[in-house]
Amino acid sequence: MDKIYRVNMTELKVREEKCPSKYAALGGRGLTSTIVNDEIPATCHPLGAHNKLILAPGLLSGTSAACSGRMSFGGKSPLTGTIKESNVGGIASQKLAKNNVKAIIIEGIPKDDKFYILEVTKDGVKILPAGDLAGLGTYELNKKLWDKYGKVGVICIGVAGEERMCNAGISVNDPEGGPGRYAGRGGLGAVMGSKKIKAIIVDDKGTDKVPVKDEEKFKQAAKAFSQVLLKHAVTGQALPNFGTAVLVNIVNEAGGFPTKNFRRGRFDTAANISGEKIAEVAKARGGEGKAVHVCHPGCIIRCSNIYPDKSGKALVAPLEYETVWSLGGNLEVDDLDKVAYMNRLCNDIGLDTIEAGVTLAVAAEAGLAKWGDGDSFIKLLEEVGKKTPLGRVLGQGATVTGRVFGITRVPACKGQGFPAYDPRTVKGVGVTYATSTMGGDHTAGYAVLQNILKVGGDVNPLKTEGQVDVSRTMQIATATVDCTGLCLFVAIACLDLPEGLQAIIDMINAEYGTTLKVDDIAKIGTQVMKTELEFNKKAGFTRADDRLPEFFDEEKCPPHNLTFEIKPEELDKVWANI
Amino acid sequence: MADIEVRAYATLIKYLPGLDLKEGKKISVKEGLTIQGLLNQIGIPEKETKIIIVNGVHVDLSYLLKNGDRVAIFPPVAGGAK
Repeated sequence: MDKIYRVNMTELKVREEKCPSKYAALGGRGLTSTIVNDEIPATCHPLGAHNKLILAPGLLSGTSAACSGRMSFGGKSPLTGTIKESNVGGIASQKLAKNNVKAIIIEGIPKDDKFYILEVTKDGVKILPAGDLAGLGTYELNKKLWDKYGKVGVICIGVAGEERMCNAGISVNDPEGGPGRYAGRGGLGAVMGSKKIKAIIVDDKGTDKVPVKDEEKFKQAAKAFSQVLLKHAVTGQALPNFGTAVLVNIVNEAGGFPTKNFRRGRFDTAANISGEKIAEVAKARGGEGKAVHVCHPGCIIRCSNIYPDKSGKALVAPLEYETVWSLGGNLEVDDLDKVAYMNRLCNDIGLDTIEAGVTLAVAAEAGLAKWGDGDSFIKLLEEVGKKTPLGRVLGQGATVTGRVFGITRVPACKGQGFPAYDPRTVKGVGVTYATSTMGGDHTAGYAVLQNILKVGGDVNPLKTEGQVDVSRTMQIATATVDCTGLCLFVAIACLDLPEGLQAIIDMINAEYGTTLKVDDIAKIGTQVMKTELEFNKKAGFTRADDRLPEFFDEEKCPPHNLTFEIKPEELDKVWANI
Repeated sequence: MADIEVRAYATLIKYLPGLDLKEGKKISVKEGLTIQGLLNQIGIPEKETKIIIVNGVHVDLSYLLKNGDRVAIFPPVAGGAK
């Protein structure tokens, strides 16, 4: 991949550039974060002309490496004001790579009010009017685009992104043409909407294989890598059989499943919204339902699913842990069909489901919905789709909603709502929530592995010891994985089976002719974190922003009755010596 | 005797037929029985288990059961290469 396309939406012109040598070794998050820090003024308005939206496939995307179909979107986040990289699967990344796209940098803002689409093919990038595609929900949009273009990659926004709501995500389509994969967090859908781009089509028709310098070495390394993924119990059995929602029961038993807006860590009927339940329902209802599913060709972990309605028709794909928590347990809703329907609504309107659920809980605090009553929450989501004033407030996420209604119980850091683990009883991920460069984020430094699953180490989730180190280590490792186009779940296997890390290095070296070593993994990630921390500093963020809301320090979380307990001086040790 | 609540998840559910995950399976065991002994008593093969959580805390097979314990047994959904 060596082409960089600059799409200037003010001039409505596309320029093709050769990748400068300083970016040659970068891909995915390493590339987007470096371009963000190099080109975007850190104090710019995220919805204005100076912000940019950058797309980049990962270093291994488009090859035969298992699970290599992830891509990164980067920019300044309208939700948090920090740097943002949003990582997503689906079928677009591999097609971008096959079109020799290293990155697409979208700049400027159109002078008129119309929406556009971009067409990416082997011949380049074209800007075209969106016509009557503007205003469509993502399900109908995807169907129309596949009818017109065939089975192309579709990157798009819903009404939320068009209206520049800061909880707007960017959807990428799956192999069945559904919009369910999301570059969800951080509001980059609003950035895409501010640049008046409704959709980006990626067609790899007529392309050749992604060039690999040493095909034989690559094949050997890819084989070793696949074996590692199949061998590990989580990537080889638990995730394919039960999906990510296999986490519900174990996090719930460990007392870390945030219930009723983080009031307790255990939900009595959590099993009703668990991965085991989803697999049971998908099998029992049959039809289009699938308990095992891939989000992109070449994934062998197959953690995804297609959740069917009562008649066996596909209702939502995937239905994942974070969403059954945010739209389920966090709202005391235990009806899986209602949770799945709310997930579909979020997909169609173009919202991040995690932030949507945290927002709905804040709305319930304000008396706008009833705890446990799925229908009352569905009504609120529908407001967002209808673009009513209330809908526009909710579409801004939990922090703004809390401010509008005078609610202080808002679990967020740097303006981004917390995911599905209570920081008081899963303390490692709590450190990540506070210190991640992107706000309240779990994948950025998924210490849940060491805290709860005992993968890659064993750090007691209820004690303060070891949490700062495990969060830092995971944040750095994740930053590296996010450059490669590999799904983060490969880290689960590679943390326990180090031959997996060697295989990743071998694949990169075989593709690019580089001479990286396993030691470089930490170096690559460290450089990405330094870049992101530098941007945030320029944007005005200080250590005072690396804190959790005060109620986590003061309110004890049942059943363990613990507070967060990790002092500010300890949190500041995460990045003090980077 | 110690009255305890047992739950088994994922692929282990089949060893406790009729299990209501909301209520758990209520059984009586000898006070001080280990987790290892419990698995033997209720017929869950030890080699199929990976994570044991009692009252929300991770424990190992030598944990001594006491009255009122809530026991959760997981296969390798969580952790470990084979």
